[in-house]
Amino acid sequence: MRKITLLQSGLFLVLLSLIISLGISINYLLLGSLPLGDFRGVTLVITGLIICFMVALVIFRLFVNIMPLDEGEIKPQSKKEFIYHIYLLFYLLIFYPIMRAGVVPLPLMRVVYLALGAKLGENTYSSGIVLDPAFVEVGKNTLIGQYALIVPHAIENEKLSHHKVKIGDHVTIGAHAVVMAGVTIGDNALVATGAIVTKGTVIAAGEVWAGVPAKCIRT
Amino acid sequence: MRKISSLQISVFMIMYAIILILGIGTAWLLLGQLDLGDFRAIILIVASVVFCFSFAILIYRIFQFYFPLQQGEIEIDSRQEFIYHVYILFFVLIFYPVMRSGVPLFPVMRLVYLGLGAKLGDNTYCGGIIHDPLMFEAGENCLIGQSALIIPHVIENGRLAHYKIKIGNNVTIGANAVVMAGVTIEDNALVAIGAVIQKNTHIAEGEVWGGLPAKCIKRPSTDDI
Repeated sequence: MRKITLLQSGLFLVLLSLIISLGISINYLLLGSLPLGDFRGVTLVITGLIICFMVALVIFRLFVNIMPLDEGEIKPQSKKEFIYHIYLLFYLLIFYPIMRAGVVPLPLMRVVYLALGAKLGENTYSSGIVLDPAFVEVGKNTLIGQYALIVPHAIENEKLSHHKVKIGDHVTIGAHAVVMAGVTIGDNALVATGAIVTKGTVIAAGEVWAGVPAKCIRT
Repeated sequence: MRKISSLQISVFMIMYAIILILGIGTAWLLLGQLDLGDFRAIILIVASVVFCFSFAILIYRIFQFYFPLQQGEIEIDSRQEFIYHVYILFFVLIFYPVMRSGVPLFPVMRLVYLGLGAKLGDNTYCGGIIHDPLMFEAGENCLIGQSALIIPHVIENGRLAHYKIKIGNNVTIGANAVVMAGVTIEDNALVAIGAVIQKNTHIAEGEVWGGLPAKCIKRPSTDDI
């Protein structure tokens, strides 16, 4: 884990205060004058949180649009590392708590992942965690099981990189499975419960992979 | 992942509306007239959520009574698939968020699982997730560890099926372990941390199973029995 500098934290905090002031202002403008009676306080707090989260998604998308985080390795002290650290602070402080909570129903989580930049086909849902949604493309009718992880980043002591994970149509990723950076999974393939698919693995259409590290057990 | 049809979603939505009306109505009738001062809103909202969740369990049980989800394979476009899709909407939209959050205390979660149809013996608790409580039976004094999963369903691309999981007394399921459909575990057995017990495995009394896929790593010696 590399150290996030004060300047990077400072820049993120500026963005965060922008998010909070925008969110609260929009909330007040939209709902502040409604006759909510006893329910005014609790309604404004809940809608304020939801609107702040939506504004955070917009500001995050604007940020990655202007300063995109590309695939590939990130060298220490590079410009890319600067971008990555701001990106990471967005996740650690705003998005991960929602992604990891498990409270948000699956169809709503799908919308959050789409907003964060994941490409998800129709009728595809995740009960696990897609860690860097912008680096993930999934086809139609695919299911990612409970506690499964899609990890498009490789953090190995000092080394740090991102590689896209591509998953086809009608794929099942079992519970507790981990799909690591750079993995490609073809249509109708199955990753068994608890399997760990190591970096850069290519799983062909219809194959079943299982174990740690995962191996093809059926074609 | 099969597609849930709009008719199935509508059937669920009607029940969902009934749940909301009953839950919020009950909270209003019981507490709406009380003089709660500044706390009126928050108390009414919390009470509504608790009542809605309780009515959701009740309506779900009534639905299950008339349209039971049975063990076995679920064919595409069958009547069982219709029932399953309404059933899964109950879970995805109402019960999973609570089961997956890790927020309710263990004794409360035990009550929720019992409410959802799990058979749990005395002093049996779960720190993980029991995915289809209707298809799960556990004896007394069992412990299911943190993030462990009991998965009585089989979802393998197009295939969809449910098979009951039965666990005896004094069984320990380690953290992060997964117990899959159709597994039976006898008394005093132990499933090690992170073990994945494959479908239809039978674990005999006192055995210890570990690994991925899990194998028997220790049998009880004759002195133990």
